[in-house]
Amino acid sequence: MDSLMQLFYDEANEMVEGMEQVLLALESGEPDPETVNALFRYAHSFKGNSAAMGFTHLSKFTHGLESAMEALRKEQRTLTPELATLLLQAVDMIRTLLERTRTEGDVGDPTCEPLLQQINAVINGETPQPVPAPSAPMPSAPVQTAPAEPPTTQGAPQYRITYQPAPTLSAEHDPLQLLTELQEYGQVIECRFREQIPPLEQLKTDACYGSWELLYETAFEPAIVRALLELAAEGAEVRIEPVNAAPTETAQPTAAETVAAASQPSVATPPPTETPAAAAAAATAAVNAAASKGEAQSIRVSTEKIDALMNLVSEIVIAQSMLSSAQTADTDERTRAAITQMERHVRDLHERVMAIRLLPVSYLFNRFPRMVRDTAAKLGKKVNFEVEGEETELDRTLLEALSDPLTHLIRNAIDHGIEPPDERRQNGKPETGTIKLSAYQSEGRIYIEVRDDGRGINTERVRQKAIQLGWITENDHPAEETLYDFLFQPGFSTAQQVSDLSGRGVGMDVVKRNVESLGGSISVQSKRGEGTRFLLRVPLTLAIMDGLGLTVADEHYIVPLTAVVEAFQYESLQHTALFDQYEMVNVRGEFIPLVRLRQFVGLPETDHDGLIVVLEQEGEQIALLIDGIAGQQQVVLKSLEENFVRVHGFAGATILGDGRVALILDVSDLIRRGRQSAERYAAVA
Amino acid sequence: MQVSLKTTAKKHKATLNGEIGFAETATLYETAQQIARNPKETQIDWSNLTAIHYAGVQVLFALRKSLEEQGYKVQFTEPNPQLYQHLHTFGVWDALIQS
Repeated sequence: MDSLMQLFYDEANEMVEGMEQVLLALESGEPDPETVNALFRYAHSFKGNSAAMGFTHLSKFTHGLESAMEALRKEQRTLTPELATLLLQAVDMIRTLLERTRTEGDVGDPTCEPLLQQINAVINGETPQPVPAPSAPMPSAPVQTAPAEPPTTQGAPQYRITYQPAPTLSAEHDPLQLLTELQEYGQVIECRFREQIPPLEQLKTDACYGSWELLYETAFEPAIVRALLELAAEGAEVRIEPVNAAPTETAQPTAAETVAAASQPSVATPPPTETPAAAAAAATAAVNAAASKGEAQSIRVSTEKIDALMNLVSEIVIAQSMLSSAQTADTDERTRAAITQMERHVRDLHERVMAIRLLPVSYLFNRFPRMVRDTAAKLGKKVNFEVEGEETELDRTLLEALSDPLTHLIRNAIDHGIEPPDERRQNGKPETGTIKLSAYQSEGRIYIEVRDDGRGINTERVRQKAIQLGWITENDHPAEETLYDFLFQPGFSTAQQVSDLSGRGVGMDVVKRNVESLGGSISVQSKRGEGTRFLLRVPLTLAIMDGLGLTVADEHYIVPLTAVVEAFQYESLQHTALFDQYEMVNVRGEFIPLVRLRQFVGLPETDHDGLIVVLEQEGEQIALLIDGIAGQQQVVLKSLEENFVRVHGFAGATILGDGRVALILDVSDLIRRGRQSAERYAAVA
Repeated sequence: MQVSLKTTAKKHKATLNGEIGFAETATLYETAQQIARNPKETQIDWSNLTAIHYAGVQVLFALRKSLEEQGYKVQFTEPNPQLYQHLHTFGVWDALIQS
């Protein structure tokens, strides 16, 4: 796929998302003319860009939608839930058509027209006919590769274009070639060449002499024409003036244009050369043009390139670590200084590349309002969806991987958490429930919270289900945390009815597994009648972290440095043994669960005292008994699950500076084990 | 070779073949300089030329101007239809043959 096409798809997806968000905002809030105009700008820009790429079905459908929405903009109609649903269906249709252009070409869909008719009918106060869902891809449909043939320009607006090419010619900058390309977007009716070429002795072969004046007819936005002519080299001067305004289907001035051109007496007057809508329509071209001038504040880079860069940085981190390990007592001072300097630069490089991969969580969160709306409507519930901390940044790979778990948690919150309106009323709650999705960063980790004010988890029902499954006996009364852990076990569901949304007992275990596979953890808090809070903790990045090397026997293990609280010499008198493997250690008067790493990894115990490293996560601590500390280092995380299977207690592996492999301990899992000690301790105490 | 030059006692004949991109403009420029150093009636045969960068077109314009200043004419053969259409549409052909 060429870069222009990729740019088109990137922007098209953003615009479709934008349309959806604006519609949802309009539906949930007071109608605001600016928001309505934003909707138009998205639709109009999308139409223009689609037309520019030759996707006439997409362009025509969006044009039809734009026209239908005119009454909305003129405030002749309000956005009723019925109309909002239809417009959201139209957004879905745009998505479908857009996706088809990737695989089948510009094939359209037979349900486009009925959907537009239905939207028009609702707007006009008529009874609409139901519209079937977008049809399945049509194998026999003619495949048209993009860009398709340019739309007919007969009767399209005409423009007087003055084109003074950039002053320097190059292999890439050939004004005649650019003019030829212009013919693909419209028709050159007249062209005047003003040559200012000097005699041979004064000629510079890479200088451009001459300019053109064209009478040009096109259905495309003038800004696209401008961008095309300005694209090849810096310094071109392009002036575009409208000559007439004969509208065509793809270039008919829309309501937005009419408003933007408020100074124009009517649509019959020449269209404005650069309305705000037109300017937005030229986003694709403008980005290119600005980038070619070196003025761009940002550029689009494919994720593959960034991933490749990240992999390379990971390898450099390993190589640098090897180099550091290779230092001996004999290493001279200059080499030591150079290695130290290199360490700093590698760390800086890593941080900068990491920053490139970070995206605001809004990238993920923006897809949920629509889902909440549709799911709540389907279940007959009223839900107010709130988002907080959407500017928090997270590694792109993590964001994508969190999509499914969050979707599941939010759906669950609507399905099981939020009560139906009448039940909420009876319980003295507002009819509309609230689901709040928030994100924040703390202690080098990202926290994502899904909180609802619904009915909360019925722990007694969870206990009964666990008894029924044979996981506990009638006499067992586990702590709330342990009961909540059951929710994440495969096959566990307390839902009395299986719906297509949840209740099949699959899902929460998958949520947990997915989160853990990211090096994260999930916990739940709930209060009967008041609501539930799921808290996901994930690392900032999957790739590289600062770790502390621990040793037992001659083996090395790594723990994330952010989890380390302190380390001290272990004296056996300090600890209090309770039952068998459940031990607590006294740290300045406070008892912390003890985990012996030797025992944990299946190595024989030793009689000599070792070191205690206190690890902490989410306010819970664990004391880890080890033989020694190998030092602090940056480690590149390698997934175990990708190559072997998920191994409890270990978050992954890494390659040490000396080439050996070290396992990375999963602090969440260690703390979970420690919690059992704490519970036993509490039971006895 | 995209550019070749034949010189007789009375005239030069420069033959342009294939495509003259930006890189080949240097060769065309050298040929034009050769002609300009020894000015004569000149024929540019570009009937077998399929495409030419605007930098090359400028060299031909400049050569024509130099020779005309010294009282010599440049005659351009009919280009191939595609190239003609290309140059004609954007007013270049007409400007080139006007003297």
